[in-house]
Amino acid sequence: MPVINTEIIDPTSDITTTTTLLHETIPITGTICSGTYSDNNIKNYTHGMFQSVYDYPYLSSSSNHIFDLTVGYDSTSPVSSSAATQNTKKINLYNQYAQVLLGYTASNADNIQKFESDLNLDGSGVIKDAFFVSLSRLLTKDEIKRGNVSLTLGTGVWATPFSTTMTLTDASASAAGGGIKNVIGGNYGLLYDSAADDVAKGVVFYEAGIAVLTSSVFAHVAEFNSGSGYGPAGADILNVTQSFYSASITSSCDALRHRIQNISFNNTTEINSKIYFCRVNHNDFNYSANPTYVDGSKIRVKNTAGDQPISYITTVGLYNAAGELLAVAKLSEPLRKDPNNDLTIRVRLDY
Amino acid sequence: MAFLDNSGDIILDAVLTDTGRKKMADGNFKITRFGLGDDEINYSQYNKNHASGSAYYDLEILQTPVFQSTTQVSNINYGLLNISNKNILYMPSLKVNSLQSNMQQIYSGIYYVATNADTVSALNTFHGAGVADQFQDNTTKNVPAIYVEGGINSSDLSKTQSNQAAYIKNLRLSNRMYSISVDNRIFKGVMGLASGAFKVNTDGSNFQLPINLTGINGSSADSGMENYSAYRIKGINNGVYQTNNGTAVTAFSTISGPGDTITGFKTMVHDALCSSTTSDNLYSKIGSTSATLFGSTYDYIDTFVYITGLNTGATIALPMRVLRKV
Repeated sequence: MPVINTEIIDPTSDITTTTTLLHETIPITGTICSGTYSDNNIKNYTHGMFQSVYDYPYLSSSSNHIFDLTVGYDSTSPVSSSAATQNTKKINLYNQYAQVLLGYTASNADNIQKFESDLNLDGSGVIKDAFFVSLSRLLTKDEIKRGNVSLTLGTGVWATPFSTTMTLTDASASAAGGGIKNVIGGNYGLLYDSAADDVAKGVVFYEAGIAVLTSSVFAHVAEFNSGSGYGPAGADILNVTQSFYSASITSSCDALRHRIQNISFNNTTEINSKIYFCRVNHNDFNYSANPTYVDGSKIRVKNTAGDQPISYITTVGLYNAAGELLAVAKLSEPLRKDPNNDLTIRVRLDY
Repeated sequence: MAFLDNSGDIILDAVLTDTGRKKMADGNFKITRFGLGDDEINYSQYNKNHASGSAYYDLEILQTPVFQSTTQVSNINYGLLNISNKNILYMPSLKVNSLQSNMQQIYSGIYYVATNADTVSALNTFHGAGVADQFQDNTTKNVPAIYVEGGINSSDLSKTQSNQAAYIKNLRLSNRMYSISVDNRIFKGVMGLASGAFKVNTDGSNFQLPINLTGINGSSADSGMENYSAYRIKGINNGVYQTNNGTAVTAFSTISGPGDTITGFKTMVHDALCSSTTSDNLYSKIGSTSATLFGSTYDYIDTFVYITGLNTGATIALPMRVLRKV
């Protein structure tokens, strides 16, 4: 049924806009990456270029994609060789990430910029062999909060990878922009070993939700990869360089998952809101068309005509000029309205 | 649709309606007005005789739990009213008037609509000669129609023209127009009163009822309900007053106190639902088919029609059954 009475919302004085940032803490435990679901939550593809990690066996409709893993290297990397396993794909993947996140060098427009372990992008400290952790938008939302990223990686032997660990954080990046570089892929900060390391072990792109780790994170790990049979003379134990060279992308991703103890960060959701101030004057909305408002035709809340009218607000409807109800807001409890009070009800719509 | 948590501060739970989302997708989302509703409130819980005093009169009402918002447009069905006069004690109510001939009668709790000539013939056979006004005939513009009378339904006030002026018209509570909201899947329109008078002489003689109906063009978008269209029809002055010779007027008016206006209407069923040669699956979709009623076999759809006074928001809902002889 049509609503009889509505009041004007003045666009100049009754509407305002605001932006708020909402942060959620996202912990990803290593048991999800490797162990809990016997790798039934790991999806590998026939193209073999990356693997996806889900929070539950991925064939289940209740599973959620949480991140992708892949590896790649620059064509000038020592491990780059036509004899290397999936050599072209590894180079292509590195270039793909680099051109999307960093762009091209100023000296030559078709030279793809390379990842570096600093903020300078001057050609020094190049990360030539890299692991890429691409977090799902479901987790990162609009962007990763700066200064809160933490990755704990196992650096022990294959059998007991977490006997020693390394924690990489972006603690040097501040929300105000310090310790951050802005490139075409958005802002990125450096990931340092929290144990007083002066060389970054990787970078994290906040808007893109991508962490790039140098393979040298595991430079001192003799048993980075195992069981693949890709090593020299068919060895089953590979260090990280051998893994990049000999093992498939999938195998190297498996090895990295085997060493992820924890990933945590805060995501950010930017909420743009429009606030409508619904101003109810003392003489407005004191009567109701609710069928129970009258008994016969006599108003129930009155004994005599001189008694003040009373109504109880539970709902605010927002209408367009054609009288169509576009949005509705419910109060958590009825609000008494009578001629002795006026109200301003603040309705916020988030986008 | 759960209740809102009312254990702490008052919060607002806001959602866009389906219409709002469509408008946003079209780039036409512009809010310009607001209205207030109180659909959850039962004002009969207002206890003016509470032993502990006026602070306790509305204790029950203020404890009413409120439902969460939904995306349907029917979140506010009645709405609060902007009436600046604080001294109003009575508000016009609506009642169906079926006291006289040409006024459609309710039959077993439902108002029937016969869609085609076969149905009319079958119903006439069932009801028999001399029993009229049991259904409305969709094939003509003629009455019987459903008449809805407005006024102050209280014996506190006598049914005089001066009370009509003092308690309704001077207080600007008169409903000169009414909104008829009908299911637009079933009805293509409505017919409303065109002219005439609703009155009786001061000696109780010469009762007059407006019986000229005309089709109402164009529905408005403000029905406030999904699949419903609203049509605006006029109200005619309720000129039935108490007589000066003691003759009761209860045979003419259902309103105990001063009357306001009366309106009358018939519905117009979509042609596809009237045809006896073509089937329309709306009967099977939202109604019943091949049902045994009135000693014969019919398809039918049950629905509600809502009549709202466009000044005070007074509303009644009428159950209707659209009937087609198989």
